[in-house]
Amino acid sequence: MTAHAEPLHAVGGHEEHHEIEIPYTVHARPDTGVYNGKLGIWLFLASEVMLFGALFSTLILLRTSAPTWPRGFEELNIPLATINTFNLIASSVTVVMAWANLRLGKLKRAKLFLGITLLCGFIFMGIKAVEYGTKFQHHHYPSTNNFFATYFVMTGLHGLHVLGGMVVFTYLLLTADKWYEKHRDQYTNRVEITGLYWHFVDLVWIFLFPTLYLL
Amino acid sequence: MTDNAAPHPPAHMAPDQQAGGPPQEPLGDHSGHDHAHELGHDNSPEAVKKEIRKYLYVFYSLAVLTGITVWISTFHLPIHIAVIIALVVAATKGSLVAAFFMHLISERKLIYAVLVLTVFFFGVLMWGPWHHRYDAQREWPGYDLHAGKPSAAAEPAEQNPNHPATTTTH
Repeated sequence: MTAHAEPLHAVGGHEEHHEIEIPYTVHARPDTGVYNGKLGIWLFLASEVMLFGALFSTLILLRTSAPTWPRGFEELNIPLATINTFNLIASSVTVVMAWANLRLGKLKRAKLFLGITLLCGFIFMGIKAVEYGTKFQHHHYPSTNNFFATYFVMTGLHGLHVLGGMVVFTYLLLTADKWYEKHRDQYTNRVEITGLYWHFVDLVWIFLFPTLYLL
Repeated sequence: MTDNAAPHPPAHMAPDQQAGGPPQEPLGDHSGHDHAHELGHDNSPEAVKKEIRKYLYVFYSLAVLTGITVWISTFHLPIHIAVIIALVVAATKGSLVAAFFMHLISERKLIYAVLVLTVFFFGVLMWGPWHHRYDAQREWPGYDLHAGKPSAAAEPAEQNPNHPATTTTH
């Protein structure tokens, strides 16, 4: 390695700062066929499938082993959960709309769709808070029985994922102008992979809703 | 620093390239739409507008399927039928989200390879409870496999501390 190539090295009494280049944030890597961020998010989602899969597996184990198990519709609020299902599905559409508009060069519209997605996240968490509040009022806690233990753990973990997505969407909204102007393709990719995560969160809810509430 | 920053020869090369590693992507002019194919998506206005219409159709389908799931649940069907219907509808909805919103309908081979592994290990997780039911039948005579609970003829739960009925808090 030559002295020229060393990124952080004192030259002539002055500290030279060369920022480290992160490769393949826009273009596909020739050997993988995708840009690094996309492969990264899919590997992360694979681990997430295992996380939620373990919880679903636990739920099946507990439910099939229990002498009695309440039906979800007897204990939980179906109308509120239905609203949340529509809400989350709508937010998945607004994310892909934001991404599509970025590809069309319409940043203002994309920001509007990202904002609606964030709003959907707030509505989801608000409804969840109402649901949890009602349960606590009726003295239903995770320690009450296995049904409520799995309900609180699974919806709680899912809620944390929604919260995580909302934090990223807030960041994407706040930095949209700066990033889109300077690194348009990279920003578009960031919205795409955040969208992939958000769709996964939607996907988990699509299975949680009938499993916990309707059966 | 990102890969579309202004070029400055030494810094844009990652250390592995300088050491003879794989070649890095070039830092070219990123101002136009020429990267459409490199990004794996057709960014022409016609193609994107077509995609938007597709997303809306998927949204309508998901909304209708959600309505159907909730409507069927009002009949309070026997649990076995309800589980089958709910899982079929949920799997259909999940497939729509994965195929169109997550673009799995036209993704790279490597992503499919990751997913094949994921599906395999997810299958192992689902196999666990299934195997437990098989074990339960062997270990706890009188366990009603169909009902998923001890049969009426089985020994009382309080006489067998290992019986599943005594291990649940409900």
